[in-house]
Amino acid sequence: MKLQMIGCSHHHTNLAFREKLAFQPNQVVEALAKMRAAFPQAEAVLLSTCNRVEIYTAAENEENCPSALQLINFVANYHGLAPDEVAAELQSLDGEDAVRHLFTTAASLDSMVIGEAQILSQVKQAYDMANEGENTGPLTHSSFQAAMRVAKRVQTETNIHRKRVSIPSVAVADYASQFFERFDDKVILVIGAGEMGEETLQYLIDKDAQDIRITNRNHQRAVDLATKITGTAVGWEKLDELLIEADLIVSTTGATEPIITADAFRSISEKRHQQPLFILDLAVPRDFDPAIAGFIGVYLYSIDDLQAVCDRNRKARERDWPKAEQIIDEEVKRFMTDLYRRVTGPWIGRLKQQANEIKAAELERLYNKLGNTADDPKIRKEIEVTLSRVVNKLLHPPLESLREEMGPEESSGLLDALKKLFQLKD
Amino acid sequence: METIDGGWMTKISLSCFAFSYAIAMILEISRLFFRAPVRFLIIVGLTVAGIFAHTVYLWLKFQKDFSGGTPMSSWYDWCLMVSLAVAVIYAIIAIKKNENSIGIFFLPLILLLILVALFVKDQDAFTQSEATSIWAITHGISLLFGTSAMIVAFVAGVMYLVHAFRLKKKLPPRVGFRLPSLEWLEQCNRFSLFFATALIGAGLVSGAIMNILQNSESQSGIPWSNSVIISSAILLLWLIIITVFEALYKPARQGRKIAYLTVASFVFLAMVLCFVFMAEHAGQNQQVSCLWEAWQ
Repeated sequence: MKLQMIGCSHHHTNLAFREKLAFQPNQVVEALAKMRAAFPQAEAVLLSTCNRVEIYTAAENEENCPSALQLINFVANYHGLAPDEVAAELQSLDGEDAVRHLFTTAASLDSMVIGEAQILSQVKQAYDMANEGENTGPLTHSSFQAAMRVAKRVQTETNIHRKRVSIPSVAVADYASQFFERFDDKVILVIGAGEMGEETLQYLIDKDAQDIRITNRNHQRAVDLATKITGTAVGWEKLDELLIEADLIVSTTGATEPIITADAFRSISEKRHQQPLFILDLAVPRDFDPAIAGFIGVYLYSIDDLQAVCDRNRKARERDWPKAEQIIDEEVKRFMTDLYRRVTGPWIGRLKQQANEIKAAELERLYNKLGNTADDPKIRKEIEVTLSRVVNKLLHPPLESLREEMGPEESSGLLDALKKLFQLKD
Repeated sequence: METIDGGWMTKISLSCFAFSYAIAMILEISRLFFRAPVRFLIIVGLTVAGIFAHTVYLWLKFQKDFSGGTPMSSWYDWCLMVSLAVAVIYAIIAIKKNENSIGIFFLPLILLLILVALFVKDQDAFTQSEATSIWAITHGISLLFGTSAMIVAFVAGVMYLVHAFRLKKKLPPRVGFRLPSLEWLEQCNRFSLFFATALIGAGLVSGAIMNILQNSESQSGIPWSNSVIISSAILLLWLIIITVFEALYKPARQGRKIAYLTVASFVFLAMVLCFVFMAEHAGQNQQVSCLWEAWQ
């Protein structure tokens, strides 16, 4: 039995190379089909995200599982890269290490942003695609289902997933939601078309934000972003009007001076009639004069205010890290125990069967030799019981050792020894 | 009227539901300090158990009073009914907003109303003859629900002010002290205040009509110079002013102003109720037994 993983992640491989190795969803389907053709007896799941590319392979019979080298060649051929170049970037893990890695990845403990929820759905999606392509089997079923169970356990038993650590996620989930009950009827104004603004908008769109207005000094960039997220691009000259109508402002310009001063905001404030306004000033340096926070109904948050919460959440996650690791350890141990029980079970059964066959043959030979003496049922029973005891007592220590050894190497070594010593055949 | 044999339910006393609410409140407060996975279910369970005991207690008291004269016709009963109405509203909001710590604000008021009920327990009940007019029923029921709505508006207003203060000061969010969004609190505050104004207004006007009728028929009404009548009239005037103010002045419709006005209105109402309980507004003098009438 073999279970292995080869792949690369953000830890050791740069983005440029990860992009070269990445599989788009349609490529995943194609690659899995090619793998099935190349290694028909092997199970395979291909996980490809922006932060990692990993191929999990498994087979009940070790010879049927592709080697790490074969997989490296497969990936290199698929992407038209040199195998040496790919080999230098890919990491290979076997057995328990591969299982531990899968569990850790699914639980988002190996992610770039620890605790981000997306990875679990990506793992599930990868497993589903392998299922659809009929690339899965008993080993990948049990390992991926266990991984999803472990991820949920980490989610519910620790704070790692509850505490958000990115500025946009904290801005929306921890703050904007405290102001607004719903976002579909709110006017959301984005000043600047930067990356941070776009990411924040994604979280707001997830909350059903619909009326999104984008303004930028370079109008084309506002148009591009508006097209991308289905918002409305508005000219920079209408900034004051936009400020009067907005309920929530996300500002991320690269301006070196505040674009809205307290004096300028005074006339805007009068026209707003103290309508509550939540401003997320995510620009460095700030776009809004800090004095604006003093206006009635205005709640102004800068990146520093949010960063403090992010840092605090990060520390809270770190505090829960040992607990999460402990869960992973427990689950890996449980999974490996179950797995090796499954491997050794048939062999133990075969050994017992062999012993019983020998016992039966010897009993028959003995009864034939004893003739009438063995006709007494009491004597027959006593002989049978004695022989059974001898067999059981002889088999008990090696079988118990086999059951107790849960590690892959020990168990595999003992199993091989058992097979050789008792000449057990497949 | 048929009565039911209460059985074990006859053993339910005021302390049963007061105790349930008190434990629920302690558990709500404990949210501030540590996390516990099943706590919310226990809080809801205790509140529902309290509401059940509270209802059974009032129902059995109603049956008992019915056989002896005028049921539900004292300030003691009135306070317990208001506390039951507020407890039901709290339970509904708590289940709907299960991540929020609203019990910290609601449960002390529920317990306070029960305490007030105990405080006025020895006051005489209203006589049957005092509780027979349609105006008396309107007066009692309107004030009962108006007071309940005002308590909800007050709680929403206080929560709004606390929440707005925390957000303005940029205090970091606390897992154990999450409040509903400002938008929700503002809406809850505004609607509750609107209903409270309408119901209290109806209650006070019907009370005034009842008094005019009693004075014209038998000179048995309350003197118009009575402190309760004067304070009630000021309360009504105040509620009308803030309703008009809110309708005409746009900034008053949103933000902290409406919350401040609600808190002030509640304080006003509490003062009027103090006058009612302390002065001889009802009981020995005049008052209603609305449920009695409804039952008739």
